[in-house]
Amino acid sequence: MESRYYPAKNVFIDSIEIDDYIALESSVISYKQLQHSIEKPLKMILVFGRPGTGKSILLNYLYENLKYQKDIHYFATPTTNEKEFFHKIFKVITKKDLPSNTRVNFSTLVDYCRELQGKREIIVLLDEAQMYSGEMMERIRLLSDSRAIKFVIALHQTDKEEDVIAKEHFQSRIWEVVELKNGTIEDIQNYVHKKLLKKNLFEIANSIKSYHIGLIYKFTKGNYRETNKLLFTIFEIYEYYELNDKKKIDISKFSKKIIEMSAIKLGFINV
Amino acid sequence: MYDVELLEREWRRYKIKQTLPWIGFSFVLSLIAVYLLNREYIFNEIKKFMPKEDNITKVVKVAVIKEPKIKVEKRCLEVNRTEVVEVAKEEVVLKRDVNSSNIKRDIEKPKEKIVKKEESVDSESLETIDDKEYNREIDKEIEKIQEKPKMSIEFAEEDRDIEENGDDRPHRRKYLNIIVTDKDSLNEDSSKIFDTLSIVKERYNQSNNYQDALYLAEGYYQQGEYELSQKWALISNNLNSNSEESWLIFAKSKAKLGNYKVAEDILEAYIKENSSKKAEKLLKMMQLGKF
Repeated sequence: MESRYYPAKNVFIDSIEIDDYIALESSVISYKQLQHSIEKPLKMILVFGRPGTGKSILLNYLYENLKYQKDIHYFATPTTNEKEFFHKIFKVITKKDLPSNTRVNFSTLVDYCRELQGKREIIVLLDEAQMYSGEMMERIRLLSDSRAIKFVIALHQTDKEEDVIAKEHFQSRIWEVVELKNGTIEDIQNYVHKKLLKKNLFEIANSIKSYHIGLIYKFTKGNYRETNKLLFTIFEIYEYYELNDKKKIDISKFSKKIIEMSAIKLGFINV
Repeated sequence: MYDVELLEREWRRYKIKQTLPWIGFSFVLSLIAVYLLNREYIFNEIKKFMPKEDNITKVVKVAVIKEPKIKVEKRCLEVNRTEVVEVAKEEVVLKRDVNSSNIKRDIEKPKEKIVKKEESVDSESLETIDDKEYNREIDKEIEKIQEKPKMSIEFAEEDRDIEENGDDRPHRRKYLNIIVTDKDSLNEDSSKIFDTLSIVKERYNQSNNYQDALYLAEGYYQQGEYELSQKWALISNNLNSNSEESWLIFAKSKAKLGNYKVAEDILEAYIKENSSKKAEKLLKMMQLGKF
């Protein structure tokens, strides 16, 4: 027998699938800003924000929306191997695969891109760009200088020193920055409710009141990934009780106790 | 799947940790509230377990805020406020003089009567006389006075200092002593007695004379107004710290107000500097619990 909380739990699996994209007020603004930047004759655009603020899903959403309209390509997984990365770029530009034992001549590639200037406008979305080495980033910049390829780079905002270096590296070259932030308490409320309602889980959505959201927000600080993790754990505990000890839960009421238990589990509360 | 039972245990521990400060805070608050609402009862209960100062006179101290300080060097008395519940038996005998040139004593007859009472208690056989017997004697004396219903006014003036100091001041202090021994007239005309005190009080306001203050102290002591007698004894003592009477009235008032410890300290301090038989006698009475 499947628990009623099973689909609710799955709603909050962390993914960047387009179906999971929730159009919140703040994310719509970021999306429009990014879309507008792409239209501009910019070489590089930086999407900047802490992990879990929705950078990946924003890039994916942009890609899915524009893939039939523009020459747009999404590199979800960073390629740390330079040879592999330029094989991918080569394929984007020429739409042809290179034999695996062949190496791309970078200067030839740049020259080829220069020839494409004005003829094609290729957009490459690079997620997790903090994984690329400084040398590779320099080559990416040289490619973007050809004006044939426009790079949208998603970069994690952390407190680490390399993050500052990376930011400085891009500052002189990037013309536009789209910064994503953690959601407000209203954003989190909309996010949770919209996610549940999207899967027609009305009863559960209605049982989550604003003070429950307040508690969730207190633990996750409005971070969407942390919110997903917390709600996933909450519904997993609910699922356990429903299958093993049903009298401990009230299906009409959302439990503060279970929120706190999940927070303990995820380390938001230190006992 | 997680170990939900372990999680539950951790959650209970977290809730205890979270609520413990609130429980402590509420407990302290309720203790304060209970104390504020029942402090009188608590004081009384505590008092039951404390040793009694006196086994003859039952004086209920309502609150003694602070032990008084006695400044012997300055020969002045500084006493903190006390509240006392005790009404002493009183006979109202006051004198005031207007004309005569000889001052006898501010309160002559009543004083004699009091002295009589004191002597009857303070004699050598004092220790064998019990409280009831002493009270009976006082009652008899009161009855004697009440049997003679009358009111007389005597004039008196200062005489003691003249003989001792050879002082022949042209203006001698005069007192009007109103002796009221009529029970009925006492009730009817008690306001007159207070009038006398208020006249002296008015005069004191102009003269600031220590004898006026002493008169008021003695008068109020006779009236059983021990708070006031204490106050005026202090004023008198401030004006003339050599005045033995002011020390004695102050100590007696303190004792009547239930502050035996303070009264004894005052007398001891006075005796230390002045060999006063009266003070010694009074102190002995207080120490034996006969006052």
